[in-house]
Amino acid sequence: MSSYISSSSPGETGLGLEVVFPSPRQIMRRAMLRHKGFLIGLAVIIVVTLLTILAPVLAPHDPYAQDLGRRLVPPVWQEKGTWDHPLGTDNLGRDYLSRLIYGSRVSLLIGLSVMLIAGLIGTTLGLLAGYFGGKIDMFVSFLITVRLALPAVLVAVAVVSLIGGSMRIVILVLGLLVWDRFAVVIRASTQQIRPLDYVAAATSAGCSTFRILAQEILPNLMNNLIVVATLEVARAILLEAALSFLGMGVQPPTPSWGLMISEGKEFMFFYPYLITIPGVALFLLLLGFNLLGDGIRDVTAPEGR
Amino acid sequence: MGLILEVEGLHVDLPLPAGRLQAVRNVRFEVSQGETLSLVGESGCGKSLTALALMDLLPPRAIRRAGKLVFEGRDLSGAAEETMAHLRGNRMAMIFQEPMTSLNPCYTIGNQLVEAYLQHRRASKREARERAVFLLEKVGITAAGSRLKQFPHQLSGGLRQRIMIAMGLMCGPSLIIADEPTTALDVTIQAQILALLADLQREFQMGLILITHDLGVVARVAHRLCVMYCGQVVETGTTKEVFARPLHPYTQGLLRCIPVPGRLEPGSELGSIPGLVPTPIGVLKGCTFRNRCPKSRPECVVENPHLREIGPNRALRCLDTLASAA
Amino acid sequence: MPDLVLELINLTKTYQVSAGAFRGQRDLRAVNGITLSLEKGEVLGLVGESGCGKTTVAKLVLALETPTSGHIRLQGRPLAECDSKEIARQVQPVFQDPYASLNPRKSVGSIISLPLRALKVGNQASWSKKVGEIMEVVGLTPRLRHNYPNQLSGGQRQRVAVARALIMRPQLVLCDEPTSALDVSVQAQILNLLMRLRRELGLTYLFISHNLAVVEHLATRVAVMYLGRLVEEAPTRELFRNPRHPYTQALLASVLTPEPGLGLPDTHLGIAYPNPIDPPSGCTFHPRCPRAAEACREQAPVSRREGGRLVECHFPEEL
Repeated sequence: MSSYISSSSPGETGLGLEVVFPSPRQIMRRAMLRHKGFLIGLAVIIVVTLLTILAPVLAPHDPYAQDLGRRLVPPVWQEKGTWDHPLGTDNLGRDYLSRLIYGSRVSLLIGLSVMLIAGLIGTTLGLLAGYFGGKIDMFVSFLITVRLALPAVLVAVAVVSLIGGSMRIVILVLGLLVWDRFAVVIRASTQQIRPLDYVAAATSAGCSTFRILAQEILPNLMNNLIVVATLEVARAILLEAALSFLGMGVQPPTPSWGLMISEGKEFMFFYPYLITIPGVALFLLLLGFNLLGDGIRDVTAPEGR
Repeated sequence: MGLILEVEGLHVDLPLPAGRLQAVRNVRFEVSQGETLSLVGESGCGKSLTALALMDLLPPRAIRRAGKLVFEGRDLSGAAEETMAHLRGNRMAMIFQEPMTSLNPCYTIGNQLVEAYLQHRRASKREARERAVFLLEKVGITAAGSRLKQFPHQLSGGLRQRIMIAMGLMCGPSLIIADEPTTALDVTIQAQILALLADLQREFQMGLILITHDLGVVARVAHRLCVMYCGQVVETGTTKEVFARPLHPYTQGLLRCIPVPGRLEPGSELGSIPGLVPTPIGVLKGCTFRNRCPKSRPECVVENPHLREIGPNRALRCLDTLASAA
Repeated sequence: MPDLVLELINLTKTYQVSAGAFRGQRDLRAVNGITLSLEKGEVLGLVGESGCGKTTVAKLVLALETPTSGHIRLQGRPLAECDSKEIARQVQPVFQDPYASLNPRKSVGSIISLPLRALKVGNQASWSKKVGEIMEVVGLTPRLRHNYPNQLSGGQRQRVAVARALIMRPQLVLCDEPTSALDVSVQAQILNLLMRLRRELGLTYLFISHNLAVVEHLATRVAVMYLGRLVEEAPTRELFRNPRHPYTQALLASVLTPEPGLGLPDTHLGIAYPNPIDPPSGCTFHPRCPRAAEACREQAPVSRREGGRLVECHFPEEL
């Protein structure tokens, strides 16, 4: 005995007034344009993405070019600063603004790649566990538990110290480590969708299991998936920064914000801008992704029926 | 038989992105002691919102306006939340449709019954528990004492609904509002629960507002009914009268739609009401039923029909004068 | 030899459920030895209340679950030997909840054409044409094919579900409470549609419902289930005129027809509602039965078939 469902026609008032009820996409679009957090987050990410793409055009200097005669020049707002190096230079005379701009490439590239790899692994595991249940679910849950018991940073550090660090290795290691949130969320969502009648109807219509997973279930997971994906990008960026800070990530002289903080820590007390500038950049980028993720979640949250 | 509730000019509006939804429009009815009034209609007619409006439990965005909302002689149309909180569960109680979700799964039955009582009465827990046992037995639950320690999930739907009824009665209200109390229950349990409600109502001389879409339930249980369509009351009368001579085309249509065993030739077409319920948004001119009405006339497009008294306890909202004059 | 579309032979389905924390697993016999057959062109109404197992029967017939024991035969072929695509061509469902039975992310056209696409019948052009045709047959304007479920009313959604079920012209349409979640006026529209389609397309229905008035109107034969067993089966008119099993009698008495002055029926059933995990001994209906005797508590009754009727009771009403 189910609850009572309205027979109201969304499309007609029958009184000469055409009330058009929007499609799911239109509803979402309208909500997105109204959500401040979403818009701010989106703006930040667009800006950073533009920086990344237009780096060669925007960066005033070569980020690798050292100028030992111009070491530790402070940013333009302090005395002795110059517009030639608006954000100053580091201890090897490299332009900080250029390194910051090129560093965004590292952050975004690693963030997005890790998110893709982890997303693929986690979503697949979550779908299989949520759909089939039983032994497959037990096995995947076991994997998730094991993964959660391992501190990601320590494992990454251990692996990198064994094989050596580089962008490729960092992406691979992190990608194979941070899929847990994807798996957990997708598994739970799949379990909710699995018993719904339209899945049964698709099975009765002769759809193969793969088709059901890909065409019936996955599209209804997209909202959750995108939210987790944006938050995982943020997590990956932070992890990369942490690894690079520890010297276990991207190797010098590649400009990475984490590395920049690490290299600046010796001069922290006299030249704090060396760590505050990349620190603030990191903060803003992470904030942007978090706001975007929260915004998407708010906007796609089911409101009644 | 005193009047417990008088409602006149009740409006409930819901602001939507597409405009202002006039969900309840100019609703008028009254309930006396010991009487069962049924608000009947299909979904979207506004009957549930009317009930929530009476208890002032509408969703935050809804706007309520009432010309007259007199309960036990007091006008509640402008009442503050404190006044309403004092009345809810105390002088007027509500029973909802879904017994699965109306009871808190974290607390025992006894806990919830006692809380319902101690909320409004200065009494000891023991007195409250005694009253709970008394009422559980009244609603036909055996071994009431041990039931107090059970949790909602340990009981069937029928039992839970009986407990909901007992909970509603804890403070001896003068009005019970039951919103689809048996829709979620099995058919064989339905009759028992309805009989229980009727017995309790007679014994405690309460007023009962029974909200339902099921005309069969209305016929067997209610003294009077208000048929609602698109937020308005379109026909009222005693149950016997309305079923014997339904005057509004909507009521007539509804009665034709219902399959009754033995009445129709099996396999023949059921009467139906063509079209769909309109959405009451924007400027509403004319009769809202006209697009689906077999008796629709040119006047129905422009004139707003009023709810007219056409006899003692009988009212009709229809421009079809022949029917109302008959 | 009658043309049998569906045969259920001693069908049983047992689930393992946990009986509470630390208490291990118990058996839940959702379906307990059901034998039924359905001829071409019939409408078999399967009635019962919650816990009777009719939803499980639906899942078994649709091959969404596999039987613990017993057989199902579709058009004479054992269901277990058919692959999912063959089954899809023979049986299609119409479910109860018009909100949950349509994928909210797919357009109406995509939903209706799903069986065609999954079974790879025809091509893009023929799909479009067939969708348009079936939409008109069920009373939907073909223009709606670009809309999404949230833009349609409950009745329209249910028509979409019917269209999807019929686009492959299946032998058997399994209706699981198709109108229970709809308003009365919409219910009448959908029932009329189902009756018309049966006449025009020569369909066979297995119609599952708890609403006896609807079943009486639609079905040619009725089977009554209680706690996983079939307690009575008869042609509709005979069942409603002369019910033999006390549960059937109580069910019929519980139908509240819109006739004022008749008051409320006393079904004499008591409030001891059975727990399917822990069914009563002997005849599972005995705790609620007004006619229960010693024998009923000790021994389960045997099904007796005579003259096209079946009843499972120690003391059935005599005709």
